[in-house]
Amino acid sequence: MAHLQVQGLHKNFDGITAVNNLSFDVRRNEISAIIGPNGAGKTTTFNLLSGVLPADRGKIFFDGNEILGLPPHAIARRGMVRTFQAVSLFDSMTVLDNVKVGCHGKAGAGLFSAALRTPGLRREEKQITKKALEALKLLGVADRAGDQAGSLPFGQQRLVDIARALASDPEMILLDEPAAGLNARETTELASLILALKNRGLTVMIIEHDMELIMEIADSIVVLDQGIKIASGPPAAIQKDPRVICAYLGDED
Amino acid sequence: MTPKRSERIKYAVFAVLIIAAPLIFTGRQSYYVSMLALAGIYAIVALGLNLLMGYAGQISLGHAAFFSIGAYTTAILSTRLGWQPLAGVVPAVAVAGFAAFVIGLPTLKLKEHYLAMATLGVGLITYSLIKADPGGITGGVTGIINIPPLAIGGFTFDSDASQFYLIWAVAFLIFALSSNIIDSRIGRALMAIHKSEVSASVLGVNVFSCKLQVFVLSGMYAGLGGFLYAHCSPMYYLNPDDVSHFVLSIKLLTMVVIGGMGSMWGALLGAVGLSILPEVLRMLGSLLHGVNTTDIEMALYGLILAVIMIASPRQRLKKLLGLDKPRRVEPPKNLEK
Repeated sequence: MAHLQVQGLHKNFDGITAVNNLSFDVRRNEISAIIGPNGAGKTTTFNLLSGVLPADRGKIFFDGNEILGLPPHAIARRGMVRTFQAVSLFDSMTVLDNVKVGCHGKAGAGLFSAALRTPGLRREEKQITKKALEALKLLGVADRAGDQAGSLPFGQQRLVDIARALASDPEMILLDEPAAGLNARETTELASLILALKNRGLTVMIIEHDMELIMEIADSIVVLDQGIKIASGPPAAIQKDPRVICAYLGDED
Repeated sequence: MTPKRSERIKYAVFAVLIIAAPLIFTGRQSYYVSMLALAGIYAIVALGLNLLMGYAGQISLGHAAFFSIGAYTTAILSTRLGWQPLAGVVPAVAVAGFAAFVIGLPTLKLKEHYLAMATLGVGLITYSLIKADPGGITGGVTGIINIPPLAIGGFTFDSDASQFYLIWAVAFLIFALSSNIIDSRIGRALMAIHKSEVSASVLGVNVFSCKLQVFVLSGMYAGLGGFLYAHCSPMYYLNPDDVSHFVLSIKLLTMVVIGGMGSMWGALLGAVGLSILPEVLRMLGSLLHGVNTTDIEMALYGLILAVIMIASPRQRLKKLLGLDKPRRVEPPKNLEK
């Protein structure tokens, strides 16, 4: 069974169809990419998957369970997390505290145990700190744990952003243009990082404009144009697909 | 986690100042002790409002409502129904918290301006209801008189100094509990919500539940403040203009804003600073004979709010002092393998 199944997903904005009857599957533990020209509906698709936007109709199954209509935090707690195209760290908080927020759904301490600093809460806080540091280490930015998040260079902010999403030990992560704004070296590092996530058993879905990166790491690709899926399949097939070439380069005549 | 050294020093200074104040202001100056006791009551409310506004970024323009609900609940129970004054703390806090829950439930689903509007409305309605007294229990404009002072065992808190110590002991406790909350999963979630609700929610934070919890908590703090006010107020007397007027809501809000929004120590200092402001104004007023300083007070809050909102002097001050440099906090080493 596919890890993520999308069936007939549809979203209109004031008469403009952003996502049009979209269906695709993402297999467990693969890296799947969504590509397409600007305005193709890629980010809208992520917003629908993560519950940030309500869909007009369609079905989304994650791990076999319907998740469409659930609030974002419930979807995150079921193991599907995401990052945004525009990195938005909680910039007045430390890097470590940012990542600790990512553990929120895995912990359960309430106001009273927090106010009284019960032994249970102390244990939980220690566990959260440990998890957050592990996530930072995985992304190679553990040395910045004590810094104010807003003070980091952009490339590192992106890594902290991903670490924050990974801190809850998700099963699947949606990455929205993770290479945007990164230099060539950082992009290469990002590629090996995403492959490392796959090796750890995660399912990855990625929106990206950097075709070289996509062709290198993706197992399957979904191509969108004006909200419609025009092709899907392994990278080699997509590269040769005339519809894809047409969408990207425009008609010759 | 144990508080850092600098925090521990601040706590110690805080405790010493509390113990020392009634010893310094004696005799003719003991008036200042009751003024500072009132500051302690406002500090308790401001600490709660700071959790809501400074940390979670939700604005309340009607916190006097919860303050007056706490004050009137205990005053009615102890004067009309013969309750022991101390026993009134539970219903005072609970009713204020419940009121916050009822108001928060529909409004916190919406964005922050709706909460500001709703709390503004609730504040005004509460004031009118207490003043009009349709149920014949609040005493209307005349208020409630002869509220008994608090007593624990055989000891009665009826002197300025005893009330001061009681109030500030509670304020100290509330301060410590609130600091613990900030330094926890819930505290981090509140700060995350302040920056971006969407980012917080996709990380697994139930934004609505967190906002509702902190709103109810701040309502309970205000109820606790109102409870203390009722039993420690000068002349043991409550009236709607003192505890539920819009000016009090704005005063409380200004305390938090002046303290820098999102700083526990700031809220504390803001509460003390604004509590002694009327006294300072009165002194200035007597120099400019005949000027009614209570009118100036409200204008001054407005001015303070406007200046802070426009100029954000905290940021400028930090820049001036070179404190705006990125801060580095040592992560706990013992947890790294």
